[in-house]
Amino acid sequence: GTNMLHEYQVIGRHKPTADNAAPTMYRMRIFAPNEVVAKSRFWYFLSKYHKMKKTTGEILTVNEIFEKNPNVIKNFGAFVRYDSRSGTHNLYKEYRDTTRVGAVSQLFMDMAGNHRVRARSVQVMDVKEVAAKDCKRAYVTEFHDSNIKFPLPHRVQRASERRFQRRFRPTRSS
Amino acid sequence: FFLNMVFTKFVEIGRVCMINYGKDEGRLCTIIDIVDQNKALVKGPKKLMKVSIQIIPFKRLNLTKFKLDIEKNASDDDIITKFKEGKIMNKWMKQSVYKKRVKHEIKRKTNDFGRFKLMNAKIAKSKLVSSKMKKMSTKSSVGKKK
Repeated sequence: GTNMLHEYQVIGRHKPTADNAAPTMYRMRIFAPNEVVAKSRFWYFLSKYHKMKKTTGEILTVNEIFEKNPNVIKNFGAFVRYDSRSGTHNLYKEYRDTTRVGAVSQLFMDMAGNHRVRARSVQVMDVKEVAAKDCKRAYVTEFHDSNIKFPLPHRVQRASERRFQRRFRPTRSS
Repeated sequence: FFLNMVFTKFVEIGRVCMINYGKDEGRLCTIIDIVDQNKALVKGPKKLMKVSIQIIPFKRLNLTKFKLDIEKNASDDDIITKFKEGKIMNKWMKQSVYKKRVKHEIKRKTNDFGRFKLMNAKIAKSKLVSSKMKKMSTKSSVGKKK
């Protein structure tokens, strides 16, 4: 389906001054719903590493990065740093998806569901494509079977359109 | 080796499914890879079924009894030849699931005049049935009186 998240390449640098006419440029790959948020997150991270902020720096470009091959399922390993209620921790999680952006969307939903962590407290440190043999998590490696086959036991027929979905349905008992 | 399998339709690479939700509702597609326990990578192919390659949850799929012998991430041409070899489309159109959908679609699309004609046809049919029933019951009652 369509992803709400996009991956952007943001390149920025300190504003050039008389002493330093060509300051070092820094590039980040940011996952964000739009370019505005991407730029904001860029400054959030950059100001943690370097002595610059939005007012003292300038963003040179924001480009969207598209998935090279979105038609093949890949395994992604994500290194995450997040703030819990009582401290900040690192995690390594694996996801199967066709795109990096899809994997990171899964990551955010997973963190929210399992750790009650909101997106603002999650820092995606790295997302790497992992070969099947190097995957560590059982919930991912169990789908690496080339002859995978399973039935769908609990079949719930759902409404064909959203407008037919009802929380309470009449029973036609007679 | 299952001799007496309870399940006959499996989620597997090559399984032909019908999409039952969304803009591709009613169209067939083939599973070309499985993401996880909830989602599969699926394609029509687009040339054949107008279903583009996409991740789709199993909730939106009805597994059919047809399975193609294809590799993971098979090409469009592969799938199309296997479809044609197996005459899947013909077999699918004979399935009661497909026929019912067509029937429902026709009924949904009838206008007021169509519904009027339907009503008259129903009345005519029930008249026929009830007159026959009457004849049969009077016959039998005549027989019983004797």
